[in-house]
Amino acid sequence: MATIQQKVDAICKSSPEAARKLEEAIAALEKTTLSGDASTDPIARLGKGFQTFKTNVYEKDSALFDKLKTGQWPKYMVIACSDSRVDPATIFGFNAGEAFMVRNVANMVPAWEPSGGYPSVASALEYAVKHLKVEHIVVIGHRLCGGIKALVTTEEGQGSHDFVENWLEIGKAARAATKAVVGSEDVDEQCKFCEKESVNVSLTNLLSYPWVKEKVIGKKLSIHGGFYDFVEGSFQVWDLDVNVGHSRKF
Amino acid sequence: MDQLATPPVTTKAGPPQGLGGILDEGYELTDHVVVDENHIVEGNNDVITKLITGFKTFKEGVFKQKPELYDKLRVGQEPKMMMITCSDSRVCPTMLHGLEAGEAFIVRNVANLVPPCEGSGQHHGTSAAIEYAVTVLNVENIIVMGHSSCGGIKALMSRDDFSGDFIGSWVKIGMPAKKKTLSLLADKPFEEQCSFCEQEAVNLSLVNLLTFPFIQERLHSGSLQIYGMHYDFVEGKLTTWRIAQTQKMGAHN
Repeated sequence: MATIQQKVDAICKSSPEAARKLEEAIAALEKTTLSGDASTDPIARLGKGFQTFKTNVYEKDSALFDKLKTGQWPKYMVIACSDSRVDPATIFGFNAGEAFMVRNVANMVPAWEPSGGYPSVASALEYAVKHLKVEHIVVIGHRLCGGIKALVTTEEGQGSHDFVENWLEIGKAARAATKAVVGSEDVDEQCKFCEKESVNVSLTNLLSYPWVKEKVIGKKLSIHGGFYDFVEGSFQVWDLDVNVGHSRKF
Repeated sequence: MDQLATPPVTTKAGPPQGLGGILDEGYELTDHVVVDENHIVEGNNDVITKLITGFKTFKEGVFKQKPELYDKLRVGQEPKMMMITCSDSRVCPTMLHGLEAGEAFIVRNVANLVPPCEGSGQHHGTSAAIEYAVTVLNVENIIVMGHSSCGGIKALMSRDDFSGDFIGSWVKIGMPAKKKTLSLLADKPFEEQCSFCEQEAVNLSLVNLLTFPFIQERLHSGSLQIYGMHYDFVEGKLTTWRIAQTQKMGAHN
């Protein structure tokens, strides 16, 4: 059984092309695994990652990155969960400059509330809709969301944390619908239901912002729900349509 | 208003469920699509096309190429770091650092601000995310990353009145950074003041992290580290720094 060293020697002897490929593979491995640092020191990890990005992306796509120095014109606003497994850029291939992104626990959009608090989502929504004039807002939920599980398994006011459960109460209508429809199923089935239902709650909450509703009715902005299931490897998407009902004459 | 029929519960991803009566009259859910390998992208709705095409690329690529990673992630997430970065479309941390699924719990908001710890009972999104990352996921590192040409910081620096809209209410979290900036760079050009404030606001956010007891405890015990970063996409450079305690805090017993 040849040792690694023997294999390396054999490859290097076989052809210059093979030797070159081996060198490239080693360099790539060194970047991510060597100097122990990158595996334990987050700054080393992020710094090395940045060097790779700078060489392979930033400097290569100079037309795009030069333009982005002067501003951003994203067409999309994406609201996704902070979960480390569900990064929209990875999953949908958004390039730099394409999507203005909010990420929070359980991809929640609170209803419009004009006074007080720290409007983490409302401020981003306002910036995206009024200033950047995005054309589409997508709220993306996902399977195995820890936040939704906490929402499903905790009654209002019973949470053990200072902030988490309070935040998740934004989705309480989704919990109510879940209990009503699949309350007799096991927790995982309830979570599956609630994960999508809470996206619907966020979509309806989006429409509670007058300047969002106005643009949706005026067809300048459209709203979409999405659901990423990394257990199955699937993605589903749906639209929220607005029908203007009765017209009245004055 | 129309009651949406209760859909059957299945183990596969089903259609979006009923809204339990919350949807106002005049609104409905439409165009539900489930994407798998066989799905043919149709129609000229560009956002849906983009999402579906992008997903198929991801599924055929990274998702299939890394089965061990995704098998592990089905069981749970164990990110070692939390990143708080701006919602700006140009500063996606996974792209900037080549992060893989499972590596970083990421919060994105306007101007990557962390408000101070406050128990007012209202919805505190960033605080909730920090609490979840630290006390549930037990992340070991928190990184706050600011960036050049930040619109949120520019709004902070250019406005005197922060009332009247959500952006004002949010960016005024950064007031201490603005004050410090103006005291040090009063006569400098506005752009220079903004650049300084971008980094100073990161420092302010780091200081605000320290107002959370669960963060103080873990910093004290050494199980959590805090870092600041600034990405300058005009120059193409990344600056990093760390916050460390200079003296031991009193014992918590």
